[in-house]
Amino acid sequence: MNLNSYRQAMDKIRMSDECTNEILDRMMRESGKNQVSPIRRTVVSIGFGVLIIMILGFAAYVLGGYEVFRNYFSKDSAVVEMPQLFTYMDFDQLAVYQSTPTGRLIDDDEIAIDVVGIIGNENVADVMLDITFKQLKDLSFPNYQYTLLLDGVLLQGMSDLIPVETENMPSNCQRIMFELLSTDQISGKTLTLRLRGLRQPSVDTDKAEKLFNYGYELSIPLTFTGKSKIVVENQTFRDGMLHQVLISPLSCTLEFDEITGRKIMDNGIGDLLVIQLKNNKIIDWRGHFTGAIAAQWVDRIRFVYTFRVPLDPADIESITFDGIPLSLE
Amino acid sequence: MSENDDFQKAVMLYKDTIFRIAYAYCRNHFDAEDICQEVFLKLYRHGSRFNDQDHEKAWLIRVAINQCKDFLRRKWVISFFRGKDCIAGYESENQSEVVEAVFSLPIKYRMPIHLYYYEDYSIREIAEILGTSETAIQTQLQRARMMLRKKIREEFEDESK
Repeated sequence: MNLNSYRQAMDKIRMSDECTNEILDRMMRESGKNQVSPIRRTVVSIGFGVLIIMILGFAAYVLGGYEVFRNYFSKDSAVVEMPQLFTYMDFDQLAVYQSTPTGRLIDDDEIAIDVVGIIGNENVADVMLDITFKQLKDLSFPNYQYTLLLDGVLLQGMSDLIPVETENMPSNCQRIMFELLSTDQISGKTLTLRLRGLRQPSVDTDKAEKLFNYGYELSIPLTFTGKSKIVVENQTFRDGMLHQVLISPLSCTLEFDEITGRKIMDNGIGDLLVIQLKNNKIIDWRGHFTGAIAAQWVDRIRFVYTFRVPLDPADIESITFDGIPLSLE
Repeated sequence: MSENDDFQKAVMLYKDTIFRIAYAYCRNHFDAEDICQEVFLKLYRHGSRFNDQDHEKAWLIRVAINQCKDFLRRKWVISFFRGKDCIAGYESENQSEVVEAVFSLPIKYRMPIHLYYYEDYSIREIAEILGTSETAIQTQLQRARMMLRKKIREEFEDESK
Protein backbone atom coordinates (compact mmCIF):
# COMPACT_ATOMS: atom_id res chain seq x y z
CA MET A 1 0.00 0.00 0.00
CA ASN A 2 1.32 3.42 -0.82
CA LEU A 3 0.33 7.00 -1.29
CA ASN A 4 -0.96 6.51 -4.82
CA SER A 5 -3.21 3.57 -4.05
CA TYR A 6 -4.85 5.46 -1.20
CA ARG A 7 -5.18 8.59 -3.32
CA GLN A 8 -6.69 6.70 -6.25
CA ALA A 9 -9.19 4.98 -4.01
CA MET A 10 -10.21 8.16 -2.24
CA ASP A 11 -10.53 10.09 -5.52
CA LYS A 12 -13.58 7.98 -6.28
CA ILE A 13 -15.33 9.12 -3.12
CA ARG A 14 -17.27 12.27 -4.01
CA MET A 15 -20.22 14.26 -2.81
CA SER A 16 -23.43 13.51 -4.68
CA ASP A 17 -25.09 16.14 -6.88
CA GLU A 18 -28.18 15.92 -4.68
CA CYS A 19 -26.18 16.88 -1.61
CA THR A 20 -24.44 19.73 -3.47
CA ASN A 21 -27.78 21.08 -4.61
CA GLU A 22 -29.20 20.79 -1.10
CA ILE A 23 -26.29 22.84 0.26
CA LEU A 24 -26.84 25.55 -2.34
CA ASP A 25 -30.59 25.51 -1.68
CA ARG A 26 -29.98 25.94 2.05
CA MET A 27 -27.68 28.84 1.32
CA MET A 28 -30.43 30.49 -0.73
CA ARG A 29 -32.95 29.96 2.07
CA GLU A 30 -30.46 31.32 4.58
CA SER A 31 -29.70 34.38 2.46
CA GLY A 32 -33.41 35.12 2.24
CA LYS A 33 -33.78 35.46 6.00
CA ASN A 34 -30.52 37.27 6.77
CA GLN A 35 -30.78 40.66 5.16
CA VAL A 36 -28.57 42.76 7.40
CA SER A 37 -27.52 46.22 6.24
CA PRO A 38 -23.76 46.88 5.94
CA ILE A 39 -24.00 49.72 8.49
CA ARG A 40 -25.74 47.56 11.08
CA ARG A 41 -23.29 44.75 10.47
CA THR A 42 -20.36 47.08 11.16
CA VAL A 43 -21.92 48.36 14.37
CA VAL A 44 -22.68 44.83 15.50
CA SER A 45 -19.13 43.72 14.68
CA ILE A 46 -17.63 46.50 16.78
CA GLY A 47 -19.95 45.54 19.63
CA PHE A 48 -18.92 41.91 19.35
CA GLY A 49 -15.27 42.95 19.35
CA VAL A 50 -15.67 44.84 22.62
CA LEU A 51 -17.51 41.90 24.19
CA ILE A 52 -14.86 39.43 23.05
CA ILE A 53 -12.22 41.57 24.78
CA MET A 54 -14.38 41.49 27.93
CA ILE A 55 -14.64 37.71 27.71
CA LEU A 56 -10.87 37.39 27.33
CA GLY A 57 -10.56 39.51 30.44
CA PHE A 58 -12.79 37.09 32.30
CA ALA A 59 -10.74 34.15 31.04
CA ALA A 60 -7.64 35.63 32.65
CA TYR A 61 -9.45 35.72 35.95
CA VAL A 62 -8.39 32.87 38.21
CA LEU A 63 -11.36 30.59 38.80
CA GLY A 64 -12.07 27.90 41.35
CA GLY A 65 -12.75 24.17 40.91
CA TYR A 66 -14.89 24.80 37.86
CA GLU A 67 -11.89 26.02 35.88
CA VAL A 68 -11.67 22.61 34.23
CA PHE A 69 -15.16 23.24 32.83
CA ARG A 70 -14.26 26.73 31.72
CA ASN A 71 -11.45 25.18 29.69
CA TYR A 72 -13.75 22.50 28.37
CA PHE A 73 -16.54 24.84 27.30
CA SER A 74 -14.26 27.52 25.88
CA LYS A 75 -12.69 24.93 23.57
CA ASP A 76 -16.03 23.76 22.29
CA SER A 77 -15.94 23.73 18.51
CA ALA A 78 -18.93 26.06 18.24
CA VAL A 79 -17.12 28.63 20.36
CA VAL A 80 -13.77 28.25 18.64
CA GLU A 81 -15.21 28.47 15.16
CA MET A 82 -17.53 31.40 15.73
CA PRO A 83 -16.45 33.31 18.82
CA GLN A 84 -18.32 36.38 17.60
CA LEU A 85 -21.59 34.51 18.15
CA PHE A 86 -20.77 33.39 21.69
CA THR A 87 -20.58 36.66 23.51
CA TYR A 88 -22.83 35.60 26.35
CA MET A 89 -20.58 33.17 28.14
CA ASP A 90 -19.86 34.16 31.70
CA PHE A 91 -17.95 31.33 33.30
CA ASP A 92 -17.93 32.98 36.73
CA GLN A 93 -21.60 32.11 37.08
CA LEU A 94 -20.60 28.43 37.22
CA ALA A 95 -19.07 28.94 40.68
CA VAL A 96 -22.37 28.33 42.44
CA TYR A 97 -23.10 25.27 40.29
CA GLN A 98 -19.98 23.36 41.30
CA SER A 99 -19.96 20.54 43.80
CA THR A 100 -17.35 18.96 46.05
CA PRO A 101 -15.32 16.91 46.59
CA THR A 102 -12.65 16.75 43.96
CA GLY A 103 -9.63 14.59 44.31
CA ARG A 104 -8.38 11.04 44.04
CA LEU A 105 -11.01 8.45 44.83
CA ILE A 106 -9.35 5.30 43.50
CA ASP A 107 -5.66 4.51 43.77
CA ASP A 108 -4.35 0.95 43.46
CA ASP A 109 -1.65 -0.86 41.52
CA GLU A 110 -3.53 -0.69 38.25
CA ILE A 111 -5.54 2.45 38.18
CA ALA A 112 -5.98 5.92 39.66
CA ILE A 113 -9.18 7.91 39.30
CA ASP A 114 -9.30 11.59 40.14
CA VAL A 115 -12.50 13.62 40.18
CA VAL A 116 -11.28 16.91 38.76
CA GLY A 117 -14.57 18.79 38.62
CA ILE A 118 -18.33 18.55 39.09
CA ILE A 119 -21.00 21.03 38.05
CA GLY A 120 -24.74 20.72 37.86
CA ASN A 121 -28.15 21.79 39.07
CA GLU A 122 -31.46 20.11 39.92
CA ASN A 123 -31.63 17.98 36.78
CA VAL A 124 -28.21 17.79 35.18
CA ALA A 125 -24.67 17.04 36.32
CA ASP A 126 -21.30 16.97 34.57
CA VAL A 127 -18.60 14.94 36.30
CA MET A 128 -15.05 15.21 34.98
CA LEU A 129 -12.62 12.39 35.77
CA ASP A 130 -8.95 11.71 35.04
CA ILE A 131 -8.31 7.98 34.73
CA THR A 132 -4.68 6.83 34.84
CA PHE A 133 -3.82 3.32 33.74
CA LYS A 134 -0.63 2.84 35.69
CA GLN A 135 0.64 -0.27 33.93
CA LEU A 136 0.22 1.11 30.42
CA LYS A 137 2.50 3.43 28.51
CA ASP A 138 -0.11 4.56 26.06
CA LEU A 139 -3.85 4.49 25.57
CA SER A 140 -5.91 4.21 22.42
CA PHE A 141 -9.64 4.68 22.86
CA PRO A 142 -10.54 2.58 25.88
CA ASN A 143 -14.08 1.34 25.73
CA TYR A 144 -15.75 2.03 29.06
CA GLN A 145 -18.69 0.10 30.36
CA TYR A 146 -20.39 1.91 33.15
CA THR A 147 -23.46 2.05 35.33
CA LEU A 148 -24.73 5.14 37.13
CA LEU A 149 -26.87 5.08 40.26
CA LEU A 150 -28.36 7.91 42.28
CA ASP A 151 -28.78 7.10 45.97
CA GLY A 152 -28.38 3.45 45.05
CA VAL A 153 -31.11 3.48 42.39
CA LEU A 154 -30.32 3.08 38.70
CA LEU A 155 -30.27 6.51 37.02
CA GLN A 156 -33.73 7.30 35.67
CA GLY A 157 -32.63 9.45 32.80
CA MET A 158 -29.88 9.52 30.27
CA SER A 159 -26.13 9.74 30.46
CA ASP A 160 -23.21 10.07 28.16
CA LEU A 161 -19.49 9.54 28.42
CA ILE A 162 -17.50 12.17 26.56
CA PRO A 163 -13.72 11.82 26.06
CA VAL A 164 -12.18 15.24 26.72
CA GLU A 165 -9.15 16.28 24.72
CA THR A 166 -6.55 17.87 26.96
CA GLU A 167 -2.99 18.97 26.49
CA ASN A 168 -0.11 17.95 28.73
CA MET A 169 -1.81 14.82 30.00
CA PRO A 170 0.39 11.74 30.52
CA SER A 171 -0.01 9.30 27.63
CA ASN A 172 -1.49 6.66 29.94
CA CYS A 173 -4.10 9.02 31.35
CA GLN A 174 -7.44 9.99 29.88
CA ARG A 175 -9.90 12.68 30.88
CA ILE A 176 -13.54 11.78 30.46
CA MET A 177 -16.75 13.52 31.37
CA PHE A 178 -19.98 11.91 32.43
CA GLU A 179 -23.02 13.97 31.57
CA LEU A 180 -26.22 13.04 33.43
CA LEU A 181 -29.74 14.22 32.72
CA SER A 182 -32.70 13.30 34.84
CA THR A 183 -36.22 14.53 35.13
CA ASP A 184 -35.93 13.77 38.84
CA GLN A 185 -33.93 15.78 41.33
CA ILE A 186 -30.18 15.12 41.08
CA SER A 187 -28.79 17.65 43.53
CA GLY A 188 -28.46 16.37 47.09
CA LYS A 189 -28.06 12.78 45.99
CA THR A 190 -24.99 10.56 45.88
CA LEU A 191 -23.84 9.43 42.47
CA THR A 192 -22.40 5.93 42.32
CA LEU A 193 -20.31 5.27 39.27
CA ARG A 194 -19.48 1.66 38.46
CA LEU A 195 -16.77 1.08 35.86
CA ARG A 196 -16.11 -2.41 34.60
CA GLY A 197 -14.78 -4.38 31.66
CA LEU A 198 -12.42 -1.66 30.46
CA ARG A 199 -11.13 -2.49 27.01
CA GLN A 200 -9.15 -0.83 24.27
CA PRO A 201 -8.50 -1.69 20.61
CA SER A 202 -5.59 -4.03 20.17
CA VAL A 203 -2.73 -3.05 17.87
CA ASP A 204 -2.15 -6.66 16.89
CA THR A 205 -5.66 -7.87 16.23
CA ASP A 206 -9.02 -6.44 15.35
CA LYS A 207 -10.36 -7.44 18.74
CA ALA A 208 -10.41 -5.29 21.83
CA GLU A 209 -8.09 -6.27 24.65
CA LYS A 210 -9.29 -6.28 28.20
CA LEU A 211 -7.41 -3.85 30.41
CA PHE A 212 -8.57 -5.08 33.80
CA ASN A 213 -10.46 -8.04 35.11
CA TYR A 214 -12.51 -6.37 37.75
CA GLY A 215 -14.51 -3.21 38.22
CA TYR A 216 -14.33 -0.04 40.23
CA GLU A 217 -16.97 1.86 42.12
CA LEU A 218 -16.89 5.55 43.01
CA SER A 219 -19.28 7.46 45.24
CA ILE A 220 -19.60 11.16 44.50
CA PRO A 221 -21.93 13.44 46.47
CA LEU A 222 -23.75 15.92 44.23
CA THR A 223 -24.49 19.01 46.26
CA PHE A 224 -25.18 21.94 44.02
CA THR A 225 -26.17 25.18 45.66
CA GLY A 226 -27.05 26.91 42.39
CA LYS A 227 -30.69 26.57 41.44
CA SER A 228 -32.58 27.13 38.23
CA LYS A 229 -34.71 30.23 37.94
CA ILE A 230 -38.41 30.01 37.11
CA VAL A 231 -38.98 32.10 33.99
CA VAL A 232 -42.48 30.88 33.09
CA GLU A 233 -45.20 29.82 35.52
CA ASN A 234 -48.70 28.46 34.84
CA GLN A 235 -49.17 29.54 31.26
CA THR A 236 -51.75 28.09 28.89
CA PHE A 237 -50.18 26.14 26.08
CA ARG A 238 -52.54 25.18 23.24
CA ASP A 239 -55.36 23.32 25.03
CA GLY A 240 -53.27 22.52 28.08
CA MET A 241 -50.98 24.01 30.65
CA LEU A 242 -47.27 24.75 30.78
CA HIS A 243 -46.75 24.69 34.54
CA GLN A 244 -43.25 26.07 34.58
CA VAL A 245 -40.02 26.66 32.71
CA LEU A 246 -36.78 26.65 34.69
CA ILE A 247 -33.51 28.02 33.38
CA SER A 248 -29.97 27.75 34.66
CA PRO A 249 -26.69 28.32 32.80
CA LEU A 250 -26.59 24.58 32.18
CA SER A 251 -30.10 23.55 31.24
CA CYS A 252 -33.73 24.36 30.56
CA THR A 253 -36.55 22.31 32.10
CA LEU A 254 -40.18 22.55 30.96
CA GLU A 255 -43.06 21.01 32.86
CA PHE A 256 -46.38 20.37 31.08
CA ASP A 257 -49.62 18.76 32.13
CA GLU A 258 -49.61 15.07 31.24
CA ILE A 259 -51.93 15.19 28.23
CA THR A 260 -50.18 18.12 26.59
CA GLY A 261 -46.78 16.62 27.39
CA ARG A 262 -47.67 13.29 25.83
CA LYS A 263 -48.95 14.95 22.65
CA ILE A 264 -45.68 16.84 22.34
CA MET A 265 -43.60 13.75 22.99
CA ASP A 266 -45.38 11.78 20.31
CA ASN A 267 -43.77 14.02 17.70
CA GLY A 268 -40.33 14.12 19.31
CA ILE A 269 -38.92 16.90 21.46
CA GLY A 270 -35.51 17.44 19.91
CA ASP A 271 -36.00 20.58 17.85
CA LEU A 272 -38.86 22.27 19.71
CA LEU A 273 -36.99 24.61 22.06
CA VAL A 274 -35.62 27.84 20.57
CA ILE A 275 -34.04 30.52 22.75
CA GLN A 276 -33.21 33.95 21.41
CA LEU A 277 -30.58 35.97 23.23
CA LYS A 278 -30.38 39.72 23.52
CA ASN A 279 -27.45 39.71 21.10
CA ASN A 280 -29.80 38.17 18.49
CA LYS A 281 -28.06 34.80 18.76
CA ILE A 282 -30.46 31.90 18.39
CA ILE A 283 -29.88 28.90 20.61
CA ASP A 284 -31.60 25.98 18.95
CA TRP A 285 -31.09 22.27 18.66
CA ARG A 286 -28.57 22.52 15.85
CA GLY A 287 -25.36 22.07 17.78
CA HIS A 288 -26.39 23.92 20.90
CA PHE A 289 -28.07 21.22 22.95
CA THR A 290 -26.23 18.08 23.91
CA GLY A 291 -29.20 16.12 25.13
CA ALA A 292 -32.88 16.17 25.83
CA ILE A 293 -35.02 13.93 27.92
CA ALA A 294 -38.69 13.55 28.63
CA ALA A 295 -40.37 11.64 31.41
CA GLN A 296 -43.57 11.42 33.33
CA TRP A 297 -43.53 13.01 36.77
CA VAL A 298 -46.65 12.43 38.85
CA ASP A 299 -49.36 14.04 36.67
CA ARG A 300 -46.94 16.15 34.71
CA ILE A 301 -44.44 15.63 31.93
CA ARG A 302 -41.00 17.17 32.15
CA PHE A 303 -38.60 17.92 29.35
CA VAL A 304 -34.98 18.68 30.19
CA TYR A 305 -32.53 20.16 27.69
CA THR A 306 -28.85 20.70 28.42
CA PHE A 307 -26.94 23.56 26.86
CA ARG A 308 -23.74 22.72 25.11
CA VAL A 309 -21.98 25.77 26.52
CA PRO A 310 -23.17 27.74 29.58
CA LEU A 311 -25.81 30.33 28.94
CA ASP A 312 -26.43 33.40 31.07
CA PRO A 313 -30.19 33.47 31.84
CA ALA A 314 -30.00 37.27 32.02
CA ASP A 315 -29.12 37.31 28.33
CA ILE A 316 -32.35 35.61 27.24
CA GLU A 317 -34.60 37.77 25.10
CA SER A 318 -37.31 35.22 24.32
CA ILE A 319 -38.15 31.51 24.42
CA THR A 320 -40.23 29.68 21.85
CA PHE A 321 -41.44 26.11 22.28
CA ASP A 322 -42.92 24.19 19.38
CA GLY A 323 -43.41 27.48 17.54
CA ILE A 324 -45.28 29.15 20.43
CA PRO A 325 -43.62 32.18 22.09
CA LEU A 326 -43.64 31.93 25.89
CA SER A 327 -44.28 34.95 28.11
CA LEU A 328 -41.27 35.35 30.35
CA GLU A 329 -41.72 36.55 33.93
CA MET B 1 -18.51 39.15 -6.94
CA SER B 2 -21.30 38.72 -4.33
CA GLU B 3 -21.04 36.72 -1.11
CA ASN B 4 -23.37 34.14 -2.60
CA ASP B 5 -21.10 33.74 -5.62
CA ASP B 6 -18.10 33.35 -3.34
CA PHE B 7 -19.97 30.75 -1.35
CA GLN B 8 -21.00 28.76 -4.44
CA LYS B 9 -17.43 28.83 -5.66
CA ALA B 10 -16.20 27.54 -2.30
CA VAL B 11 -18.80 24.74 -2.31
CA MET B 12 -17.73 23.58 -5.76
CA LEU B 13 -14.05 23.84 -4.85
CA TYR B 14 -14.10 22.03 -1.50
CA LYS B 15 -17.19 19.84 -1.50
CA ASP B 16 -15.32 16.63 -2.27
CA THR B 17 -12.50 17.43 0.14
CA ILE B 18 -14.95 17.97 2.98
CA PHE B 19 -17.07 15.01 1.98
CA ARG B 20 -14.01 12.71 2.07
CA ILE B 21 -13.07 13.99 5.52
CA ALA B 22 -16.60 13.38 6.80
CA TYR B 23 -16.80 10.00 5.08
CA ALA B 24 -13.47 8.92 6.50
CA TYR B 25 -14.72 9.94 9.90
CA CYS B 26 -18.22 8.48 10.07
CA ARG B 27 -17.79 5.87 7.32
CA ASN B 28 -21.16 6.13 5.65
CA HIS B 29 -22.26 8.56 2.98
CA PHE B 30 -25.64 9.51 4.48
CA ASP B 31 -24.08 10.84 7.64
CA ALA B 32 -21.19 12.35 5.69
CA GLU B 33 -23.62 14.35 3.56
CA ASP B 34 -25.47 15.61 6.63
CA ILE B 35 -22.19 16.70 8.14
CA CYS B 36 -21.14 18.45 4.92
CA GLN B 37 -24.36 20.44 4.86
CA GLU B 38 -23.71 21.71 8.37
CA VAL B 39 -20.10 22.55 7.52
CA PHE B 40 -21.00 24.61 4.48
CA LEU B 41 -23.84 26.31 6.32
CA LYS B 42 -21.26 27.38 8.90
CA LEU B 43 -19.07 28.66 6.08
CA TYR B 44 -21.96 30.71 4.77
CA ARG B 45 -22.66 32.16 8.19
CA HIS B 46 -18.97 32.77 8.79
CA GLY B 47 -18.65 34.77 5.58
CA SER B 48 -15.60 35.14 3.37
CA ARG B 49 -13.16 36.38 5.98
CA PHE B 50 -10.14 34.39 4.93
CA ASN B 51 -6.61 35.44 4.06
CA ASP B 52 -6.40 33.11 1.09
CA GLN B 53 -7.66 29.78 -0.25
CA ASP B 54 -5.31 27.74 1.95
CA HIS B 55 -6.69 29.50 5.01
CA GLU B 56 -10.25 28.84 3.89
CA LYS B 57 -9.57 25.18 3.17
CA ALA B 58 -7.85 24.61 6.52
CA TRP B 59 -10.76 26.33 8.30
CA LEU B 60 -13.25 24.11 6.50
CA ILE B 61 -11.33 20.96 7.36
CA ARG B 62 -11.11 21.98 11.00
CA VAL B 63 -14.83 22.74 11.12
CA ALA B 64 -15.60 19.44 9.36
CA ILE B 65 -13.57 17.46 11.89
CA ASN B 66 -15.26 19.23 14.79
CA GLN B 67 -18.64 18.61 13.18
CA CYS B 68 -17.78 14.92 12.85
CA LYS B 69 -16.80 14.75 16.52
CA ASP B 70 -20.04 16.45 17.47
CA PHE B 71 -21.97 14.04 15.31
CA LEU B 72 -20.45 11.01 16.97
CA ARG B 73 -21.00 12.31 20.46
CA ARG B 74 -24.47 13.73 19.94
CA LYS B 75 -27.11 11.58 21.42
CA TRP B 76 -30.35 12.98 20.44
CA VAL B 77 -33.74 12.92 22.05
CA ILE B 78 -33.91 9.84 24.13
CA SER B 79 -37.09 9.50 26.08
CA PHE B 80 -38.34 6.83 28.41
CA PHE B 81 -40.97 6.02 25.84
CA ARG B 82 -38.87 5.44 22.78
CA GLY B 83 -35.26 5.50 21.77
CA LYS B 84 -33.60 6.64 18.60
CA ASP B 85 -30.16 5.84 17.28
CA CYS B 86 -28.83 8.59 15.07
CA ILE B 87 -25.62 6.90 14.04
CA ALA B 88 -25.96 4.82 10.90
CA GLY B 89 -23.85 1.77 10.17
CA TYR B 90 -20.42 1.41 8.71
CA GLU B 91 -20.38 0.95 4.93
CA SER B 92 -17.74 -1.59 4.08
CA GLU B 93 -18.94 -2.85 0.72
CA ASN B 94 -17.26 -1.75 -2.48
CA GLN B 95 -14.29 -0.24 -0.66
CA SER B 96 -10.78 -0.81 -1.86
CA GLU B 97 -8.50 -2.74 0.44
CA VAL B 98 -6.47 0.31 1.27
CA VAL B 99 -9.49 2.47 2.11
CA GLU B 100 -10.93 -0.37 4.15
CA ALA B 101 -7.70 -0.66 6.10
CA VAL B 102 -7.46 3.09 6.78
CA PHE B 103 -11.13 3.31 7.74
CA SER B 104 -10.68 0.49 10.24
CA LEU B 105 -8.12 2.53 12.17
CA PRO B 106 -9.24 4.34 15.33
CA ILE B 107 -10.29 7.91 14.50
CA LYS B 108 -7.27 9.27 16.34
CA TYR B 109 -5.04 7.69 13.66
CA ARG B 110 -7.39 7.82 10.69
CA MET B 111 -7.50 11.58 10.31
CA PRO B 112 -3.72 12.24 10.39
CA ILE B 113 -3.28 9.48 7.78
CA HIS B 114 -5.93 11.00 5.53
CA LEU B 115 -4.62 14.56 5.83
CA TYR B 116 -1.03 13.42 5.30
CA TYR B 117 -1.48 10.96 2.46
CA TYR B 118 -4.45 12.42 0.65
CA GLU B 119 -4.50 16.14 1.35
CA ASP B 120 -0.70 16.41 1.31
CA TYR B 121 -0.52 18.44 4.48
CA SER B 122 2.76 18.52 6.37
CA ILE B 123 3.00 17.29 9.94
CA ARG B 124 3.13 20.88 11.16
CA GLU B 125 -0.02 21.78 9.19
CA ILE B 126 -1.88 18.69 10.44
CA ALA B 127 -0.93 19.60 14.00
CA GLU B 128 -2.40 23.07 13.48
CA ILE B 129 -5.61 21.74 11.93
CA LEU B 130 -6.16 19.12 14.61
CA GLY B 131 -5.08 21.44 17.41
CA THR B 132 -2.32 19.23 18.74
CA SER B 133 1.48 19.04 18.76
CA GLU B 134 3.73 17.97 15.88
CA THR B 135 5.16 15.26 18.12
CA ALA B 136 1.70 13.85 18.73
CA ILE B 137 1.00 13.77 14.98
CA GLN B 138 4.33 12.08 14.27
CA THR B 139 3.57 9.45 16.89
CA GLN B 140 0.05 8.92 15.54
CA LEU B 141 1.33 8.54 11.99
CA GLN B 142 3.96 6.02 13.09
CA ARG B 143 1.44 3.96 15.01
CA ALA B 144 -1.09 4.17 12.21
CA ARG B 145 1.48 2.93 9.71
CA MET B 146 2.35 0.06 12.03
CA MET B 147 -1.31 -0.92 12.30
CA LEU B 148 -1.77 -0.65 8.54
CA ARG B 149 1.27 -2.83 7.89
CA LYS B 150 -0.15 -5.52 10.12
CA LYS B 151 -3.50 -5.28 8.38
CA ILE B 152 -2.42 -5.51 4.78
CA ARG B 153 1.15 -6.80 5.08
CA GLU B 154 2.55 -4.12 2.85
CA GLU B 155 4.66 -1.10 3.43
CA PHE B 156 2.78 2.12 3.86
CA GLU B 157 4.86 4.83 2.28
CA ASP B 158 6.75 6.85 4.83
CA GLU B 159 7.57 10.21 3.30
CA SER B 160 9.22 13.10 5.04
CA LYS B 161 7.84 16.50 4.20
